[in-house]
Amino acid sequence: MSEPPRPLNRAAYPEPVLGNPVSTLMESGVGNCYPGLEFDLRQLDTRFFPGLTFDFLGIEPSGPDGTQGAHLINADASSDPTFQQDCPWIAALRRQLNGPEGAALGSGNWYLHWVEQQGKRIELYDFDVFQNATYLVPYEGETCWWIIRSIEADPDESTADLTIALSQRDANGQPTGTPVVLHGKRRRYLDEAGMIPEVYRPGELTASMCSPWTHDFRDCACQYWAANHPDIVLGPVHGYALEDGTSRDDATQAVTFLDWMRRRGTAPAVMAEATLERSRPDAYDPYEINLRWQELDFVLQGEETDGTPDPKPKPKPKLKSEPDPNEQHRPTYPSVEAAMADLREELAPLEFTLSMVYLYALLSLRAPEEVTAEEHQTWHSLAEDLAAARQSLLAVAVSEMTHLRWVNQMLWTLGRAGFDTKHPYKPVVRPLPQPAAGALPDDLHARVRMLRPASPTTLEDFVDIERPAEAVDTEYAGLVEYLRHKEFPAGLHELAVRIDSDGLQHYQRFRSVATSLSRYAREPRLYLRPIVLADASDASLMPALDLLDRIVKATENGYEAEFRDDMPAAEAAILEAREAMRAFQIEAERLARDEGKGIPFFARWKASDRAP
Amino acid sequence: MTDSPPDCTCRADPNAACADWCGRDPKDGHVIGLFFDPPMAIARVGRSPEPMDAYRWEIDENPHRGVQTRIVPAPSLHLESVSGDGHWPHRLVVATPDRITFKDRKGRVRPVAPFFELWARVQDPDGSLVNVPVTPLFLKARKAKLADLVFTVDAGNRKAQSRTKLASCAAVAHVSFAADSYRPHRLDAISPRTRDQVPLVRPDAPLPLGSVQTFLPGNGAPDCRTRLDQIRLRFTPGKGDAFGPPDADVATASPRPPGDFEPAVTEYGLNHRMTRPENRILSPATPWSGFNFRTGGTPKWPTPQDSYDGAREGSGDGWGTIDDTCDLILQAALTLDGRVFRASARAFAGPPDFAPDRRPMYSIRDELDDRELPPPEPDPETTPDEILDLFRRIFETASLVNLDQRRAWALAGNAGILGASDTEDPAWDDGLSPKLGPKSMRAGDAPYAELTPDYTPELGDARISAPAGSGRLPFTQVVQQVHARMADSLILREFLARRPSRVRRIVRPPFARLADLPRRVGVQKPAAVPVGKWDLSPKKRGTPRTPDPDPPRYRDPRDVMDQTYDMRMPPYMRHSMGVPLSITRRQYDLLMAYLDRLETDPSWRADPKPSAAQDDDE
Repeated sequence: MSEPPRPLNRAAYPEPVLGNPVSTLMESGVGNCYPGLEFDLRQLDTRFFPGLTFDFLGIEPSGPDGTQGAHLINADASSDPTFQQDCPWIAALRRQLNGPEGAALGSGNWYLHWVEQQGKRIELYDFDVFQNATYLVPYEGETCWWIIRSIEADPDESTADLTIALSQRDANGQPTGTPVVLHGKRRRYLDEAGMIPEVYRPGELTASMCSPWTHDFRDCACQYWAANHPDIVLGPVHGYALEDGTSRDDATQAVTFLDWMRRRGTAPAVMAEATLERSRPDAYDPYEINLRWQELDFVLQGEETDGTPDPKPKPKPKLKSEPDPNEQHRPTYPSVEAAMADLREELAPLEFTLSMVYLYALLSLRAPEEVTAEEHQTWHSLAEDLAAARQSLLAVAVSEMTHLRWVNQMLWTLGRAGFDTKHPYKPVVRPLPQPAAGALPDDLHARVRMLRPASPTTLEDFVDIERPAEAVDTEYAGLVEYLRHKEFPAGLHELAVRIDSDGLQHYQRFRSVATSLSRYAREPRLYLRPIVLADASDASLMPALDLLDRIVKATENGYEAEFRDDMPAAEAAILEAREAMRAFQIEAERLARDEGKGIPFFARWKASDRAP
Repeated sequence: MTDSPPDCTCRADPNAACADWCGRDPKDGHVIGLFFDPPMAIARVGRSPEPMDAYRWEIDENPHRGVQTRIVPAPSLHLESVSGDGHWPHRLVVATPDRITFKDRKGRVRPVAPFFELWARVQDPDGSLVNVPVTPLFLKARKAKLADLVFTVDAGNRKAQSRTKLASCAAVAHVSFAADSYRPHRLDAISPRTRDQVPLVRPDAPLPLGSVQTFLPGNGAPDCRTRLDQIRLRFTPGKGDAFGPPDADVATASPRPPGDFEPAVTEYGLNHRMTRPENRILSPATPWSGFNFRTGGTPKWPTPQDSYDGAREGSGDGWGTIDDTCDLILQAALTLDGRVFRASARAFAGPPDFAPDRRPMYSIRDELDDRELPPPEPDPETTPDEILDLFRRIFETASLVNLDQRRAWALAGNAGILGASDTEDPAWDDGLSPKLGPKSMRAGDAPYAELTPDYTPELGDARISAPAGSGRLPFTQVVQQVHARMADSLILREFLARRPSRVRRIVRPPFARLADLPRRVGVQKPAAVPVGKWDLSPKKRGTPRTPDPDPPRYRDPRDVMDQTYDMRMPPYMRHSMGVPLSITRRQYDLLMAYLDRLETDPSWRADPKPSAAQDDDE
């Protein structure tokens, strides 16, 4: 195949003009941006009705006193460019504002009473019933703002489609007197050139932002918006980076979230916490941020960094355990049939096997609640380490099951596209075949297929299996290259990309689990259940193995249904598989915890490796 | 400079696509109007004298990172002093940096200083309209000089004014200069006032809001990719400094978490300088010093009202600080044969974009589109890409969110709203669904919660998801894992096609438009989301839909239950108006339309064609 690889997708990113970074674009700013980012889009609504300006007043500290709501600031047709247009409804509104209605609005306090569009009239008052009488309670400003925000722009510029009424209030906040009713339209917030019109004066669109901007940048309980102001990040890479940009040498860098707002200097690498209160002592203080905000790090691909990668990085020295990248042999496929055979016979079984092997290892770990009070006194972090390790192992096991699905999806997508018609799609939900007798210890299948407790050796082996540039990684990297060619359905190779990138995360997670559990290496009983791989003939295993059969069957049915484009059937089958997985998990935990039995996951597959 | 039509150098490049105006005689066409490109741009503060270089978004093709957005250096415009001594006038030269660095060698943030290109719209004798760059040749062809083109810039920082309601607390700057004035024009702002008012910013100590500059047109043959002879303006924002009156020097900070208030006596916080000594230039004797939102009679808009330095400690008196950010309108006025043509653009000075390769899922553009564009209609050519882009942006935002913190904060807030005294009691929200207490996003939150409990079986029904110092963020970990894969086209499409009802259930609906609200809250419900509106009917070989007995409803901003935080997507995130965030109405309606199509129209579920075939179609 000689065609150049194609880009990964066809979606276009917006392009700024020459010389401008994308951070100048409206696409780079947060739409929900009050009170500290670029500007406050809520200000647009203060002039939603031509000629009028409103404040959306909140509640007084002493409580609602009837002054809350959409309060008229001024009514003036002369300073609003809208009225320079020649249109019947504009002329009529001008007459109203220059006539008795405008005169009335010129004195006293006026509040928006109701708004009406498409026949629906919404009052800006709540109601209360007291002794059979209805009382109106003014909504506070923010609720009023939402009601105004929900008014639609009308594409027909020629007619008035919006009616509003303003009224004054008595001392109790009840509307009083004769309302002023005006007919018009909601203002258009962009002019023909794509600019917010000049009726919004310079400084008006940022007027409501916090002062100074750093005040809320640190102090907003909304925690802001992570796209411009991250909550959590990974620390910078010191030394050499792996292919995904995370640290090669520091096992914690890729799996430890740091609090981005931490005080640099005295809290250089403080981990993120699960509550705001706990993060607070190590975060910048109010006022302090005013002079120190430039210490905050920029973040690319989730990591703190000083800039984009160096286009000509220094060659990195090879670690002893690392394969030589020059010697990597990415598979190239002589034909699509060969690629599909690899997916069917090698990769799908590999993913299924890994999932089961990791589940077995997970079941060998004690649950945090099994840590006794006595143990906790000596080993304070044991329960937490177990919780973290178990979540990591489960996440990887689930991830491998997802990979199994994606490998199947690649197969059925290629099948539907008419490739390899000799092998019509059949779901592949089975383990790797049992290695032949006498297989070498470094045989990948033999290494992968071993059901083992999560001992230090096992975890190191898991790290090796998932290590970048190892067999599994290069397999997918080759597939990515192959599937990017033009003859295959667009986007298909993204599945291989995702599996490959997940593999690096698995590697980092296993490294981290191995590191955290290594502190108990002298007393493995602290974290390992004494489980033994049970014999398949053990009657007590039958419920678990039956559930496993159910999972496999339902998953196959789901894939088959998807292949046939029967989505409701696929959904039902996948939900059934999930339900069976939950039941299986409970049963497997019970066997491991209470009976010390490890489930022989592959027992019901024959050596010929076919499904049971 | 000659009067002859320029020959565009890009024509020599076989790979370049020339613009339709490239090589056009500048004399051609009758001027209809002027405009700036871009019409609006964001500037971003920084103390470095070296502005940020240009960069673009693109898809990262590295298979080890997954499909995600990255930034790459782009052709940047650098200033070149004509005299060689660094002094103005400057010409612009194009250079693409090897890498983008966000700070200079002294650790100062590089400001984002946007350029604005000036364009003319001209009409040819055949009636067609063409946009052409405004250049000295363009002006000369119309017997105009650079001096006939005048720029006016008005900038304002009205933050203090918006609280005190006094223009004497605003800071406004106005500059006007001809296009042959190449020096940087400083936007030194002062406070407008009447005779009896004390200006917050005095004329002898103005507030530096930045500067604007135009450049000596470039020499040589034009190239439509750079067009350095085109007239440009550049806005360089302020440094991002805080300014105050002389007593705004050192203050005691509240040690409480964000959003909390220190009791009336502040004793335990640390002391910090809040302004640089040289920035203590504001008048102390204005209502802005000591402004206090808690006192009666002060205006209760804008909200939140506690958004100024000083609001959180002691009595809540403000220190009278403002900053050097602003928003501004740039205008160009060109006089041709006595007639004035005008163009306008806006710029906003905001904080740095600290994660520039992570895009907001709900951007300013989305908000403007939501307000201005008609309701979306599904289109097989564009909708799948739009929804994919939305989910990519969702991942990009979600990847930096501390979901565990957001959840803990939001659930405590729910308890406060609904009067539950024990925020940690898993039963306080009994009878409610979706859950609002510690069972939120746990197994007890079915049918909303599904995946997260499976992924986090160790976690009980707890508001706080991990002990202090553990470094664990279980919910954050799950959201990253789940949303990373949704950034892939086939995975996303398959998920949406297989589980449309699930998606309808777990995506938080936006607030209803006015016409879809009930007249009175609580009496009737807001309109139901029109599930099935975009179905392909079975008569046209559409797949029969699975009936949804309980379709989602739009939310009502007056309904207190629509203001509580639950796990629907985006989970626990807050809109700036203090209520749970949703995607925009327009994004939501397009997603719902896409689901209708995927569920009922087999052609929308069909595998994408090979791109070779797509190329043929094009």
